[in-house]
Amino acid sequence: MKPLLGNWTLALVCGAAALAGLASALSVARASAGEAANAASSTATPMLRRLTEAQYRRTIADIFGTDIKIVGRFEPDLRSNGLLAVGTTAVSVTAGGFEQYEQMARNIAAQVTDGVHRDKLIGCAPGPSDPKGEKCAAQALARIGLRLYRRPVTAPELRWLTTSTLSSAAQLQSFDAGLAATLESMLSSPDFLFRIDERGPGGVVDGYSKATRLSYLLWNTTPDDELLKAAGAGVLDTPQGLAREADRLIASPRFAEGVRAFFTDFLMLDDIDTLSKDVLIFPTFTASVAADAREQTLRTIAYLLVDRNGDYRDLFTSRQIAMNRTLGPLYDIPVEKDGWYIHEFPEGDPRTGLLTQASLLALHAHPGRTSPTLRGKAMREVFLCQQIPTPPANVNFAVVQDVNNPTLRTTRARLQAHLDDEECASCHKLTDPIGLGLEQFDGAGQFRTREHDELIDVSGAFDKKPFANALQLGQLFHDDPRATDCLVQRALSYATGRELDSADMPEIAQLTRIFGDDGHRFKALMRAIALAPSFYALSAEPRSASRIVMQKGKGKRS
Amino acid sequence: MGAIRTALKSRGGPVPAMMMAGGAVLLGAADAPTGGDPSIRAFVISNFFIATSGDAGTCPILADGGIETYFKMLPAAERAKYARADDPHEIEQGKRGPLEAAMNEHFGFRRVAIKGVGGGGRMSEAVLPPDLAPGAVPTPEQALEIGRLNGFPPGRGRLAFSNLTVAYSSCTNPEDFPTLAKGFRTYEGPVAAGIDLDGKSGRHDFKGLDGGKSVDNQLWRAVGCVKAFRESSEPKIAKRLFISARAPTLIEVRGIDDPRNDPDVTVNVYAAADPVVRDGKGDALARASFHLDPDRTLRATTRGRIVDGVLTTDPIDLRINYKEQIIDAPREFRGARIRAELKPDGSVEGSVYGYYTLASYWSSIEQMTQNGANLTGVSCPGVKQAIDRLADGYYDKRTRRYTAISSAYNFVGVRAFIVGDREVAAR
Amino acid sequence: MSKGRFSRRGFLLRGTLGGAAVTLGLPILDAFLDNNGAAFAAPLGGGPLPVRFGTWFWGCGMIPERWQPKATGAGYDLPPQLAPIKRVQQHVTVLSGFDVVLDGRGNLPHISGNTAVRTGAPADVWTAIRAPTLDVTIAEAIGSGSFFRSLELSADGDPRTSYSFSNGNSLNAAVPSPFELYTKIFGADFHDPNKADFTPDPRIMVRKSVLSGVGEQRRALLARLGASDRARLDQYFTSLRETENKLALQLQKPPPAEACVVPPAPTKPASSVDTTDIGNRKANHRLMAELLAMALACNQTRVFNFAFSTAASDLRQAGNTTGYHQITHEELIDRTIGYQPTVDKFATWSMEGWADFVEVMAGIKEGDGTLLDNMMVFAHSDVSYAKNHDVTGVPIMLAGRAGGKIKPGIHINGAGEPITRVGLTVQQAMGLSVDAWGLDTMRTKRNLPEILV
Repeated sequence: MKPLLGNWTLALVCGAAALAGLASALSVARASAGEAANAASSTATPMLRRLTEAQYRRTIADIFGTDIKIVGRFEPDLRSNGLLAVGTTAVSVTAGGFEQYEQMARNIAAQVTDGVHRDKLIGCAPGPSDPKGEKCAAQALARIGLRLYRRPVTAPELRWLTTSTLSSAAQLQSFDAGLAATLESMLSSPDFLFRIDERGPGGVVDGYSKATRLSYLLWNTTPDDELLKAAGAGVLDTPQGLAREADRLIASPRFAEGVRAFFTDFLMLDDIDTLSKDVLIFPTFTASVAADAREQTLRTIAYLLVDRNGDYRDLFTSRQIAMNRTLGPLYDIPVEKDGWYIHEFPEGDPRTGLLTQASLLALHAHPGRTSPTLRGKAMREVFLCQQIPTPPANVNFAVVQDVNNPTLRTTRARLQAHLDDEECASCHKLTDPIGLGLEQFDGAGQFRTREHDELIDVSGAFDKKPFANALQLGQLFHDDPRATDCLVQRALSYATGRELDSADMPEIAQLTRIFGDDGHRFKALMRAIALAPSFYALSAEPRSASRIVMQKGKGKRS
Repeated sequence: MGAIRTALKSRGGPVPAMMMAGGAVLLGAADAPTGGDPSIRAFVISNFFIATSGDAGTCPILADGGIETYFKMLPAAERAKYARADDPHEIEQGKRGPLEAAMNEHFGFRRVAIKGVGGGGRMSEAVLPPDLAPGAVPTPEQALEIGRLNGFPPGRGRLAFSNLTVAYSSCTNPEDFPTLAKGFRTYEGPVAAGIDLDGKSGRHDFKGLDGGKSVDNQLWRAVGCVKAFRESSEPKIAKRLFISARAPTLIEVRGIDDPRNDPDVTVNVYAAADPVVRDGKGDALARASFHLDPDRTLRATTRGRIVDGVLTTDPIDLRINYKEQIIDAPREFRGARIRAELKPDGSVEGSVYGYYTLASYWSSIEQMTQNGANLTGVSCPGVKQAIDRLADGYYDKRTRRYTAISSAYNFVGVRAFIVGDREVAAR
Repeated sequence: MSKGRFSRRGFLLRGTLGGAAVTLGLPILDAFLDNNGAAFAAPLGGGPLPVRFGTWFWGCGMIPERWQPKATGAGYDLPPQLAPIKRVQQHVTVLSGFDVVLDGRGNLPHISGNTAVRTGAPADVWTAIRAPTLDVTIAEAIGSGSFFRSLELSADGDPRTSYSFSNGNSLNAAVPSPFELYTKIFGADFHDPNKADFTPDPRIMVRKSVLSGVGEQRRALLARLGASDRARLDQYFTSLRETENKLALQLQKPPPAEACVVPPAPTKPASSVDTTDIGNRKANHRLMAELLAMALACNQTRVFNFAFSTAASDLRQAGNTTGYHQITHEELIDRTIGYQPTVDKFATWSMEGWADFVEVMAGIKEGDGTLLDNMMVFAHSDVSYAKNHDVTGVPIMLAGRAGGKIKPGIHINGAGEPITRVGLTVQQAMGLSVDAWGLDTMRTKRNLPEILV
C-alpha cells in the first residue's frame, strides 16, 4: 500500500519560514484554506455527525443482536485534523456510499424480519384483532424507532411509517416484507446514519442528544435502554443525573470499547487495514500478524488505562504488553499460553513502551524498510500534537547525495547526508533523531542490533534532551508535558467532533488540570469531558459558514 | 551443569537472571526477554532427508521399482500394451494404472479394507473375525486371521495404509517376491556422505564428501540408486520440502556461553506437539513456540561442543518422529552423532550420522504400501534384500544378524522456542 | 481499426491474481444496434450510441526528455518511455508542455498538480478544493440514464485511492478489487436483458417508494440546520435520489442484448497479495480493465475513474526495500546515460499499464467500430518530473474518439499554456455547454481546436 502519509517524501527540505510554521501543541486557527474550510467559528459542537463504520456495526449489534450480518463496503471515514472523529462532522454520503448503505439496510431488515429473529425483535404479528397488522406495526416501529433514531418517533413519523408498512405489505403480499421495507428506509434515513442534535432549552442540546453524545463518547455505540429512559425522564438535564449516568457507563465493561475506539482513532490504527509489507523482506509479517499487532496495542492500552486505571504517561515506559502466539515470532519470544495474556519484558529489555510496539513501528515505515523520518514525524504529530511543516517541492538531491560513497550501510548513515545540508536539516532534525532512536526495530517492527553487519546506533537527542536508546526516548515522552496536553486536546476534539480553537482554551486548561490532579488517569479525563457543559453546548443561531463557498460547474444544484 | 551465572546480558542491557542447576533459567518476576534466554538455542526441523553422495556420486544405472521390474519381465507383445509410443522401454504414464492392476493380478497381491474404505483395486468389505472390536486396530495375529478369512495365502496378511487395510504384497512380504528385486541396483560409487562410525577402515567404506576417510554409509549403498530418494534429497528441493510437518523434531542446545565457540553444551532432541508452519515466503516460520510431545521415548539428551559455529555431539540413541501422510514410522538411530551448523541468521543445517535400525527403516518402506512403492518407483523386495545384506551395525548374537545399518541423514531447520509439555496427549 | 478480441457472442475472460482464477463470460452489446451499427436500433429509439468518459491516473509522472515526443501532429515519434503505446498509438493523443500555473501558491508535492488538473485550480489539500473534479461535472451531465452515475476503480486494493471528489469532503471511494467490481456490476442487481418477458419487480417498486418517502419526510430537517450542515444533508439527499433513479431504471425493461450472457460468479481470491509489486499491479489492473470494459459495453455506467497507482506512486518491486517514489528522489542520475535508470523503468511500466488499458477498450467491438471509438479517456499524472515535483508539462494523454467528436493519434505541445485548456476541451467534447473553466490565473476560455473534430 502507499505509505501512511502518502504525499511525504523521505527527505524534506525546509526553509526558515517553514520552520517558523512549526505549530505549537495547541492548533490555533490557521491561514491555509484547507483548515479554514472545516473550522468552527464558535465553540459550539456541530449538530450533524455521520456514524463511523465501527459505530454503525456496534449500533446494529446492540439493537438487533450480534448475529445480524452486515454485508457491504462502508464509505471511507475522513481523517480531519488528525482524527476520524472530526471528519464525521465534515462528511456527507456520496452516491456510491448511499448505494452501499441501502444495500446493507436491506440485508439487515431482511434478517430482522426472518423466521429466526422476528419473534424476538418484532414480537408481534397480524392477528384476528389486528388483521392488517397496523397495531403491531405501530408498536414495533415505535420501539425500534426509538433505538434507531436515538429519540422517540414523533406521531406524524409513526403514522407515515405505519401507513408505508401497510402499503408495502399489500404490494408484496406479506406483512413481514412490508415491515422489512420500512425498516430498510429507517436504516437508510439520515436520522439513523447521522447523529443529529436537537435543541434543548438553555443553549444546550436536549436530553436524547445528550444521551447520544455520552454513549458514543464512552462506549462508541448507541445509547442503551437505560440511558434512553434517563433521557426521557429528564435525568440528564441535571448535573447529578448526568454524573450518575456517566459513572454508570464508565464503570461498565463496555467502557473499554470506548477507550479502544478513541485510541484506534488517536493512533491512526485503522490504517493497518491497508498496510502491507513486502513478504520477501518480512516473511513473518503476514496479514494476521498485522491485525494482531493492532489488537495487541489496543489490549495493552485497555489493560493499563482501564483495568488498572493507570497513568497515561506510563504507556511510554511500561514493560507490560498484551501478547499471543501469533506475535511470538515477530517479538522473538517464547509464548506458552494459548490466547492473549499480558507479557512483562524484563527490566532493560529493548521492548519498553508504546513506541516499541509493532503496530506503530510497522505503520510508519515503508513496505520494505524503515523510515526514521516517517516515524519521527508520526510520533510528534500523534503524541505531541505538533505539525511538521510540508516540504517545498523543489528538492535538489544533488546537493545532499554523497556521490563518493553511495553505499551507506546503516539508515543513520544514509540520513546523515540529509542532515549535513542546512536547509534539509531544519526539518529533519525534528523528525529523524526520534526515528533513528527506534532504528533497532526494522520495517516490520522486529528487533535487530545490526544493519548490514554494522551495529545500529540508537542514541540521539529529542528537543535537546539526550537519549541512549528507545527506552530512554520513551522516558522523555513520559516526562514531556506536551504529551499529556496533547492527549487532553485530542480527547476533547474527539468528543466534540471538531477542531479546537482559541475559544476552547479555558476548557482545555480546566481539563488539563483535572487530568493532572487525578494522576493522569484516562478515566478521569473522559469523565471530565463527559460532564463538561461545553460538551453539550449549542450556538444560539445556526452556524455561519466560515468557509469558502463551493463553485459548482454547470448542472442542477439539487 | 550446576554452574550459577549472574547478570546474563541481553541485548538491551543487563538482565537480572540466574542460571539454576539443570539449566532452568529463573528470570525474576518478568517473562521472557526479547530473544528468549540467551544461553539456549532451539530449532525446529522442517526436513530430515537422506544425504546424497553429491555430484561425484552418480549411478550408471538407476534402480528399477517393482512395477518397472514387472514391466521388463513381460513378453514383448504384452509389454507393448503399456509402453510409451516413443520409447518401448518406458511405461506410458497413462497406462500405469492398468499395468499395476495386471501386476496385482499376476502376483496375487491382496488388499481388504477393514473400515469400509472405498476406492479402486481389490478393496472390498472384509470378512472380519468376531473377536475384533469395531473401530479397534487389529493385532498382528488378528491381521493374519483376517487374511485367512479373506482368502489370502496361508500365513499372510499384515496391516497397511494407516491400519485401515490388511494387505499382502511385495511390500508386506518382500521375501515372497524375489523376482521383483531383479531390477534393483545398489550404489557402488567411491564417495558418500557420512563419517567413520566404527573406527575401522573396511573394504565397504567410502571416501567422504569433504575428503574424509573410512566413511560408513551402507544405507546409501543400499538405496542410493533409487531415483525418488536421490531427487527428494537435492539440496534445492530438500530445503523447501516439509517432512513430518505435523510432528516435527526439535533440537535444543543449552548452556551456551558463546554461540561461536563453546566446549561444553547440552543437546536435547525432542518431538514437538505443534506443527511447523510456513511464513509468508513459504519457508518455515522462524521463532515460533512449540510444546513438547509427552512421549518420553521420543526424547534424548547428550553432550556437545561448538567450534566456529559448528555443533558436534557425543553418540546417542535417537528415536524421532516421521509422520508423513500415511507413514508413521519413527526413525531409530543408534550411536548417532549430530553435526549442526548454527547459521548467523538463526537457521540450522546439519547431519545425523549413525546406525539406522533395520526394523524402523523397513517399516517406513513397508508403510508406503505396494501402490505407494509403485508410484515412487521403489522395489520393496529390492530394498529389503539390500539392507539385509548390507547391514553392518549392532550385531544380534541370537539371530546372528546385524540389526542396524550405517547411514547419514541431513536436516534443515529454523530458530524455535520450546515452551514445555502439552498437558493433553500429543495429536 | 479494432485489434485483438472481436466476437459476436460472449467470450471468456480469464485472469489470475493471488492464485485464484476469475472466469467470466463477456456480454456483448449487439442486438440493439441498427444495420449500420452506428446507432441504436429503431425500436429502441434510434438514438446515437452513448459516449463514455473516463479518467486514468498514474503517479510520479515521467522523465520529460525520455517521454515527450519531438514531432507534433499525427504520426508523432515515440521516445523510450512512450514505446509501450506503440500497439495503440493510433488511438492515443499526447499532450505535453501544458503547465499547472501556481502563481505564487505553494507546490504541495503530488497534490497541487493533481488538484489543478482535475478541478481547474491547485489546492494544498484535497479537502480545500474549490470545485468538483471534472469527472463529477461530466457525470452530472451525462451520467443519468445508466445504472451507475460513475464507477471509481483502484488497482491497488485501497478504496481511498480515488481522485474523484464532488467537494473537498466527499471522496467517491473506489472499488478496489476485481472480485468486488464483478459483484458490483453482475451481482444481485444485474438485470438479465434477455429474459423473455419483463415485469417490474414489486420489491423494487417498494424500495423506490419508501426511499422517496424518506426524501420527503426529512426535508423539514434541512430548515433547522446551519448552512454547512445543510449542504451536507443536501448532498445526502442527492445521493438518495440517485439511488431512486437507479431503482426507476430497474423498473423499465432493459434493451435486449442477444449475446449478453450472465457470467458465472468468480471465486473470491486469496487474501494478502502484495499489490504494490508492479507485476501484481499490472495483472490486477488488466483484470479490472476488462471488467470495466464489460460494464461500459453493457451501459452499466458512462463515467469512470481508474487509478493505476496512487499519487506519489506506491509502486515497488517485491523484494526491493525502496519503492518508486523514494527512488525518484534518491536515485542518482547515471552519468553515462543522463537519467535515473530505475525511475525510467517504473515510468515505462506505468506506460505499459496505460497501453494495456487502451488495448482492452479497443478490443471490444461496438457498432461498426469499437468501444474505444465511443469513449474518451483522459489519462494524466500528478507531476511531470517527479524528482523535483515539477508541475510544468504535466503529462496528459487522451484515448478514443468520443463518438467522433475528437481526433485521436496526434501530439500537441502546449508550450507552457495552462493545463485547464485541456480540461475545458474535454468537457466541451463531452457535450457540456461550458465556455470557460478553471479558477484565478488558471481560468481559461480557450480550448484546443486541434483535438476537436
